[in-house]
Amino acid sequence: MLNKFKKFLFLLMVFILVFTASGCYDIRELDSLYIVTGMAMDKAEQPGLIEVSVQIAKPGALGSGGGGDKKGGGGEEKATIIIDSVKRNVIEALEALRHDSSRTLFMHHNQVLIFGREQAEAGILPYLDASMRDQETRLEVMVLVADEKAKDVLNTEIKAEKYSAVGIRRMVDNKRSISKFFGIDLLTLVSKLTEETTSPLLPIIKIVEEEDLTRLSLTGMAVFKKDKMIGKITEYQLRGYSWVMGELKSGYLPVKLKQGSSVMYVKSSKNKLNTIFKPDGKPIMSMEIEGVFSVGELMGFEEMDTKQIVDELKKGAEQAIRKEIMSCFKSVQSMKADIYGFGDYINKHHPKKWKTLKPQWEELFPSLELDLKIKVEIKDTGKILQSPQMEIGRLS
Amino acid sequence: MFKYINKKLRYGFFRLTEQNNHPPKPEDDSKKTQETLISGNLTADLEYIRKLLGTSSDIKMHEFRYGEDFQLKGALVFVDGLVSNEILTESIMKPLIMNRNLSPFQTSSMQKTLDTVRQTILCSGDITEKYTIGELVESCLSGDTVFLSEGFDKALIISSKGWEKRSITEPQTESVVRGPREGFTENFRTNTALIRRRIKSANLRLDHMSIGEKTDTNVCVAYIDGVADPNIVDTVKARLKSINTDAIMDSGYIEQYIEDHPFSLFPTVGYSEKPDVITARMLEGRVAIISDGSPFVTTAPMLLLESFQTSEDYYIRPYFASLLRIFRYLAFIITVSAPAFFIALTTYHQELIPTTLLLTIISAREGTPFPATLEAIILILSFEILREAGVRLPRPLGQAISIVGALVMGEAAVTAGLVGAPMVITIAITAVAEFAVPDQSEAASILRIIFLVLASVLGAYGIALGFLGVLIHLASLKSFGVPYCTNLTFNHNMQDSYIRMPLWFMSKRPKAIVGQDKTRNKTNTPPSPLSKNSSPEENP
Repeated sequence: MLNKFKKFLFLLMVFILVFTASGCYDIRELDSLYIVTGMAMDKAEQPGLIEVSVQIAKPGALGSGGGGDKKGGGGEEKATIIIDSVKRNVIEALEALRHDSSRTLFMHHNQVLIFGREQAEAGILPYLDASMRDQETRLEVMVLVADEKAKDVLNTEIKAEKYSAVGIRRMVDNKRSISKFFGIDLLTLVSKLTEETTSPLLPIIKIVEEEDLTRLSLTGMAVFKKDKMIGKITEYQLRGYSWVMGELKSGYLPVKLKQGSSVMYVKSSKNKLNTIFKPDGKPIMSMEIEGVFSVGELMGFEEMDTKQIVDELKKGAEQAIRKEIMSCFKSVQSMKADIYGFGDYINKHHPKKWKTLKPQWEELFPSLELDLKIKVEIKDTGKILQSPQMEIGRLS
Repeated sequence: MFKYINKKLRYGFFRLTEQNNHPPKPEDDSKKTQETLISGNLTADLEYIRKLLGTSSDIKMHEFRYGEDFQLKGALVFVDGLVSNEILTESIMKPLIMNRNLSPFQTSSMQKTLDTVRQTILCSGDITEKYTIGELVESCLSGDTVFLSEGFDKALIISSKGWEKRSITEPQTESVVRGPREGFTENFRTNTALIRRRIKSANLRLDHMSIGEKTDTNVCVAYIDGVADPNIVDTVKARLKSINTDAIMDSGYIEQYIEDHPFSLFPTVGYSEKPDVITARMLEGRVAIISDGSPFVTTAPMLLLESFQTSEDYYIRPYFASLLRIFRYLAFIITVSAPAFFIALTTYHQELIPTTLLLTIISAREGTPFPATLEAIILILSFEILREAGVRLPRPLGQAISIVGALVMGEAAVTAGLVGAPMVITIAITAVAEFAVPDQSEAASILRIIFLVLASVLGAYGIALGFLGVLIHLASLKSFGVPYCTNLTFNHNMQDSYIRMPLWFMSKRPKAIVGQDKTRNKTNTPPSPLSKNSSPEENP
């Protein structure tokens, strides 16, 4: 009996010890944390070093709740703090920041990772490792390239957003309606980098100085060769890229014709990619692009009936798409950057031929030919068939 | 694990009681005196009764003369306040004294005289003969009037119960928007009548017994023969008989004496204050236990699901009733685990909170002096104190307390920066959700604190551990041989479980509880206007 009682006591002790000894070891009270909302990496002045800046949500200045003793009032305080450190490695820099501040850096909620232009041109790959490896950081963090210095981007306030990093992420999400390639997260970037011949793209964020305010703007994409930035393409050209990738699911397409102009909404698009080999072994990329549109706006086109207009619009849209695609293609051909992953495509579908093509792909790509077949479909014309302008023209 | 601890505790408890158990007392004298026969000598008998009952002022012994030329000596013994004065004067005293036909010569044949008194004079529907002083005293104390007469070695017990009682009112605990509003009262007969009135079946059984050495409380086991499982009825009766106590003050006493798992947080005996609920449970095969002096009727067996059912579920149409039932399940989970989840998320798993929400929570928590766990415990504690104070206080004061609690404690504490607003919101939701499942609110209040401690020590793992433990424990519970969670599992009929099916579809009574009569309605088809016309032809 006593033995059983001892057993019970032993069990009780185990319970108590489990809770007292193991518990709370990783407890983090909210007021002991610095929530990192954004991170920027710039090339330091000293060679071989990197300047890591982090944007922290400043707890005291937040919102209206809690123990806010100075609420309201006039002077709007900045809701974020930027701290930076220059070290050889990223983690080294972060640890330095950690030790210098009163709270622990909390990386889970990091929204954006911005590379300064100089660093992007020098290569970003060495500095991605820390973000990939660390348990606290997320692979969904958006990667961007700053037009100038990344730290300045983090430092720029966005109207209506408390934390500019959160704002930048929302800007990226908004731009995704134009093309999903505006939002590149860390995982996608790294998987692109692992493809041998594909060149990754990263959105460029720029500080626009206007008379009374400075704001941020996403302008085009940075084209990378391996992990080094070599040039950029515009937003217009990015659409051409999206057509080829078959990823343009929304957005609009302006069509200018002699009779008038129109803006058409993209409802969906598809692309069937194929490779044709010329007798001399050189590949031609053939594409069958299908775009479905609806009419968003019509201007002009007097004295035409609906069927004619639709036919004209189809032709116009086809040309507009072709123009967009070719503009992008020509531009990246001159950079010798295969952003589409054509090389990878051939590798996957014609592995044997790729073996011979691979060594000369650098030279082949700039002279690669495209065979475009574009099919345009106009599904609906919105709420009205003809514009009021046309109706009035008919009556008079 | 729980079983093991339970066993251990039981063992310890057993040892304790064993030590305290004195050898059984020798039969006391009162037992002997109670078996004393009535002598027939009126003065001696009355003296004896007086000795037994002591000098209580409310025991009246009225000696009088009656019969032809008032030649017969008689006495009435009753307890003032327990008997109805009207019955006493109009049905007993008046007929006895006014009647002059009772000739003194008939006293030679005592039995005959007594029969005459019983059959022709007394105006009462419930008269019995008793032979011992003990029985006499017992019925006298339960409100009957005892008639003794010189020369008779028997007493007539005339039912004359008529004490002041509360009328049937709307119960305060289980109010409904739609449905019957009457509730049980403290009066035993009223309660049995309320049940009898609802079930006019000949199969309704109201088996009587009395429990408690001192209080001798009337207890009635009510069930529907055929619908209730005879095994369960027998178990209930056996457990009631084995109750060894001197007093039953409320049905809560009975509940605690007969429950299966006295060490569990979860109740295994149900209760209700409403006759419609009790009869509905009896129609599902449950056994009701009515105890004198309590407006709460207990039912057994109780299943977990019962806590999430309300009578109104069946009075309103099934769609909204089902939705409400799902909400009740949710409310229980919320009330048990909301503070725990909040603590786990804000102290261990900040990465799980959406960024903007996290920043809002941080801004609210900034500058508060206590750790989150302590904050939660303080708030839970103050809520429990407020509730307790509000319940005990007279109603007008109770409102004042709630205003002080809500405004001063809640609002002021937040503005003063002592606690964060999100925590106050969490605790408030928890508190409100608790009242959605009143049957389990005792268990929920304790579980909440256990979960909170687990979460503050182990984070989300702690909550998972807690839920696992509770689930294992729930699965191990049994109420009168019926597994506690039985109608939440899919081998049971599910018409009335997570959701409530339409009434016409609930053709079967709960499989685990019911006895022979398993079906409620035979057709199992939706009602349609057509069937009204065709039914006479189909069922001639």
